[in-house]
Amino acid sequence: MDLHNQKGELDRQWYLRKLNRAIKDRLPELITHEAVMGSAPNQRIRMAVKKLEEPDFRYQPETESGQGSGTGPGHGDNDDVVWIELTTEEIMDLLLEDLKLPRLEDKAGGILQSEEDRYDDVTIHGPLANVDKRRSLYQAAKEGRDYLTEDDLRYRTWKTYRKPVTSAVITLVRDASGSMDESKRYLSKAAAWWIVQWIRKQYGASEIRYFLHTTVPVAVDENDFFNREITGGTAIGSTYRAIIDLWDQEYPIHDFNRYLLHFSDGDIWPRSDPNLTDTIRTILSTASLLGYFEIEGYRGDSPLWTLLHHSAHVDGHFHPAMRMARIDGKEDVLPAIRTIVGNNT
Amino acid sequence: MVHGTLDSWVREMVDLAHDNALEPLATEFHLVPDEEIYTLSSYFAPGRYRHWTHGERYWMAKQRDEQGMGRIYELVVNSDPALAYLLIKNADAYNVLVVAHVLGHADFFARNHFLSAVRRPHIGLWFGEHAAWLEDLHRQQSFSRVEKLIDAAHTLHQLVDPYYRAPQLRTRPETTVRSARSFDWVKELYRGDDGELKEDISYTPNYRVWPNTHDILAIIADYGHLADEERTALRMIRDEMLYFRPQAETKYMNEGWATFWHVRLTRAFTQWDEQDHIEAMRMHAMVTQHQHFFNPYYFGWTMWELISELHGLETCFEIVADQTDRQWVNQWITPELVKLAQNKLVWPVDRPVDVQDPTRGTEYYPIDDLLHDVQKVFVPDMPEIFVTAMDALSHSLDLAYNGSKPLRSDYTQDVVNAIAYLWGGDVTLVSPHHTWYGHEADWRRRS
Repeated sequence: MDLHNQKGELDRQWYLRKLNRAIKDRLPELITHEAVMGSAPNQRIRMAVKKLEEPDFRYQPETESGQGSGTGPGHGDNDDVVWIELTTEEIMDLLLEDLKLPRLEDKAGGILQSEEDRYDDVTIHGPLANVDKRRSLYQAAKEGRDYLTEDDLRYRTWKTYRKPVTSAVITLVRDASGSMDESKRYLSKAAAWWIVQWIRKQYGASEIRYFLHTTVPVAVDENDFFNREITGGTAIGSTYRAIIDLWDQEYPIHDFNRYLLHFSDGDIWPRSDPNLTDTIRTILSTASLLGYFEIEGYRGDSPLWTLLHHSAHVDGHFHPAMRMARIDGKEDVLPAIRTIVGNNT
Repeated sequence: MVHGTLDSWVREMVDLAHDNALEPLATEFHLVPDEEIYTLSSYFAPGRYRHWTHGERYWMAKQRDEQGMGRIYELVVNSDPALAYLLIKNADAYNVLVVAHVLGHADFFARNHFLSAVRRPHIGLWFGEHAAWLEDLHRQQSFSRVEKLIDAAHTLHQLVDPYYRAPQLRTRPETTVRSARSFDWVKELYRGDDGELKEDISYTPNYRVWPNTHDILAIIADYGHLADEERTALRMIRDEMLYFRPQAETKYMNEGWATFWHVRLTRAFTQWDEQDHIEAMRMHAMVTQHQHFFNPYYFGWTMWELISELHGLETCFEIVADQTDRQWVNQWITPELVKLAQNKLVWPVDRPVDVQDPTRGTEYYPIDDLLHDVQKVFVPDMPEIFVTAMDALSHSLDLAYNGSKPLRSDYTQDVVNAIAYLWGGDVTLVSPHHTWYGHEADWRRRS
């Protein structure tokens, strides 16, 4: 089969590339979809996406009620939707492909890998600027010529090497106190689930630690983090200090980038713990990121939000390790994740 | 084996066609595999330039076939000789019917003036030239840039005008500007030449396009800020739009005509064995399914049957020669014809009392209502946009829409952006409801 006959297939792929954009538009509503969350990575999910239309001049469609559009013949095809199937993994690629852990620095005892390009390879095609003169001349010399032909030219090119550079610990803390009702718990788990999946995929070698907290921290494993519920009041000072202790014991600052992601509704008594500001500043100065997700918080600023915001102002600058985002509904989950672990600044 | 038999079928069918006073174009028959017919049918013709919209149709056709939702049986191209593509995997009985159907189309192509006007010898070569040109442009410029150029050109498809002539460019009459200062009759008395006033006149667009034209694409190709290759590319795309336009305008007549004749030709065909004839009739029944009355095969076929019964076959030949769908339904659907159609039960006799509520049963469909409902479908439903002025100095293009129905705002903004992208200057569309300004960058950013 020659290329002429494959035009249709090639165009289909072109169309699918364009369709990806339409799919991306649907994703914010998918990200909290129960069928997606908690499913195996190769689970297939079927979804309807609006067909791509080429715009043209046309009339504003009349409202459905005004027009009894069934009387006339020639109506009634519901063809403007295409069904596509994606796996959870593909959805995640689309969603999170451009995210990177912020402020990830090289650390000595690294296990996380990054890519490095080294110009140590040779090809016979390439840009003229990359011609390797010595090798090209050598090729000509091998043939016993003193001039170069097109075939003699050798070009320098690169190979990509993976090299271990750094390591990271990501600590997820979820507020499990009484004020976290059903929907708040659901939203916080949804955001945490996506973050965990993404870390697994992109930074597989990093370590993830989980905490639940009420007035006291409870170190849990992943399963408990997503499923266990405890009740009680809310305080975070003890939790933050416990995390600092954990980090200092197991994840020394010279070897690890430390990340703390906190999910809470921010309903705390800030005055009950006078050292809280200091604790927060300690975290900010020793961690790469303190990310705070406020789940259905107060209409204004919650006590914890105010406190964090206040503590992050050091010498008139907002501390770069501090990132905060609100999640008030399903549609905020993705933007919040992007705000906190996005690559911006 | 299939090949030999195809030859004999075609020979007999052509003879039968000539016996029935048909004059089909010489036709090349090709038997092609399914992948290729999906491709051809999504491109509408062999050799055309690549575009993602073809990919969409290709995919839909393929999915429909794979899921058993209906397949494409044939593609006929208005060329000289006409090209017909038959699906190789179809049963022989089907392909015999398709041969008859194709000859019906070929006769329609030969008779209809609009289709004859755009027909070219070996149309595939013509399309191939365009495709090669655009392919070259892809290499010269970037893929996405050419993609955007084609997308932008496609947005203007409904405004192309076969009767477009390069407009006269008229200079606006200079408006006599009276000074806004208070009237000083002493000064007025002694005022000589008002040269100093003239300098106040702010610059006004120089050229009014007269007569106002629909054909924005032609105007852009002639006067836009474009490279010469792009100009040529736009003209090619426009030419293809003009080629396909009469086919869209005669779709119902054309399909109906082909169905009308395949019924007669297959009836007279002698090489059937009994089973195959039944098979072919089954297929005929399938393509003319009419739960959906506006199936073009069914509607067109019944129209021709009714017209030939009322006015004779000669009238039908005359209609085919010089009418389009719209003229056809407006002139020939008369109360008399609708009455006959309802008596023969080929057109709907009942309609639901309440469309929203099917439980309320049906009532008689009055002749006048049916007549109007059918004609209404063919009323073109697209706004008329005119080019009113263009300006050489600031390179602006003024468009106007004078209709009373509002335009769909998001699409209109997109199209105006696209025009700005092609035009390379300011574009304004003024309508009674809203004024749109084209943003070139928005079209460029669009993924």
